[in-house]
Amino acid sequence: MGLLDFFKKKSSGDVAKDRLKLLLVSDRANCSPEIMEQIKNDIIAVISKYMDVDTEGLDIQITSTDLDGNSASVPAIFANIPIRDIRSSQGHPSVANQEPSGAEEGAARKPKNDQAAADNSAEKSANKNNNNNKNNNNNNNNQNNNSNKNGKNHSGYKGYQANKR
Amino acid sequence: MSEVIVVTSGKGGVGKTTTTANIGTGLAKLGKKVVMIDTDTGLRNLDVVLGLENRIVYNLVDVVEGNCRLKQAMISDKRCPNLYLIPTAQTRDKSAVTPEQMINVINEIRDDEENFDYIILDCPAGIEQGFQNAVAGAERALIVTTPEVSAIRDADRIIGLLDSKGLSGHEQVIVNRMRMDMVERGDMLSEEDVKDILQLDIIGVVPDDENIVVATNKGQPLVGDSSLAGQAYENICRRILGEDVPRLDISSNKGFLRKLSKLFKGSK
Repeated sequence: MGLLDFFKKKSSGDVAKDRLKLLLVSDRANCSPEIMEQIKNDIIAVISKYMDVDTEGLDIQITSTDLDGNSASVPAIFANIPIRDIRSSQGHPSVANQEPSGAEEGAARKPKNDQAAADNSAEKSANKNNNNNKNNNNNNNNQNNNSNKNGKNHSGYKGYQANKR
Repeated sequence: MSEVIVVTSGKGGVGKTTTTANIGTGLAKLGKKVVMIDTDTGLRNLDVVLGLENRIVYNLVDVVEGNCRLKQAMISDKRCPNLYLIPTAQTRDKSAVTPEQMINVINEIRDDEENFDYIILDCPAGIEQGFQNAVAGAERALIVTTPEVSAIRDADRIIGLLDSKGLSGHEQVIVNRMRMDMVERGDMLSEEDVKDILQLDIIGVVPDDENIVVATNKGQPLVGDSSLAGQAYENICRRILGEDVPRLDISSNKGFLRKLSKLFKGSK
């Protein structure tokens, strides 16, 4: 062990401190189910403003993820939120997509509504890359909430999607 | 009005019983009337650490089951007036007592004409029935931990549970078995580290002291004597009474080189 190693190496006390800090964050989060419940309900409330989500199939957890260039993993919130449909918006202006770090939005599909679901998932991935503006304007023309009732609008919707791509 | 303090930790073996014995004895030596209650039913040890194991006639379980009056189960320590112990049963387990029964016992002690100043509950390790019983009537908690990863992790969990029982703001930490030589080498968490991690005030630090083993062997708590641990425990008792006592220098002064380096660094 060279002299340089001696200076570079963290003391075991410091290692213990770092480990404990990370450990306690995840322990505390896992041990307070009330907090997790509140976070879950708040996330559902926010997302439900823009789209109809499946609250039964929703999964939100604390997990750990590796930060780039860092050997230690940090706790992260993982959210898997199945979308039923995009809501018709009530004139929402441009929305900054502030998702919780580490959250992935899955697009679990409902078997009865395949067409709508397929469009929704494409819509969702488009959302990730683009501003919500255009989609909201498009939504204003649609009245689809839960079911695929308005076929005309829906194909118009699809047409829009095709143009975008 | 009696103050009800629970001494807990989560982790086993960090020094709850030793701390209860020393704090109880220390407060009594400082003139207060103290009752200590062992809630570790089935694995009682407070009696043996205090050297009172031969004086037990009735215990906590007898009290809650109505086999005796409360005062009959209270053992007074001949060496230290004002100090009383309610031991628990060795041949039962923690299901023998419920939290409601604990609250009744505590209220009965509070209403007693003796006007006890402190009721100190020695909590068992864990988070199950024993912990629930010990915390039931408590208004204040002293969380004992050692400067080690597993103890601190468990202490944090216990603090969370105490918060959920309404003790938030009435919790303080005692760091036991501190070794300043290891802290200086960087091989042990310091008091500041523990405070930073647990985010609670540290009411005192007790050094790792051989004299504790000797004291337990003899059944005589060492609080107030000339040993480092004895001084540390006395300081904690004074702080409980509201005195502002500066931290003890608990680094041991062995070795010539150490004395020399202290000379150069100046006294800490």
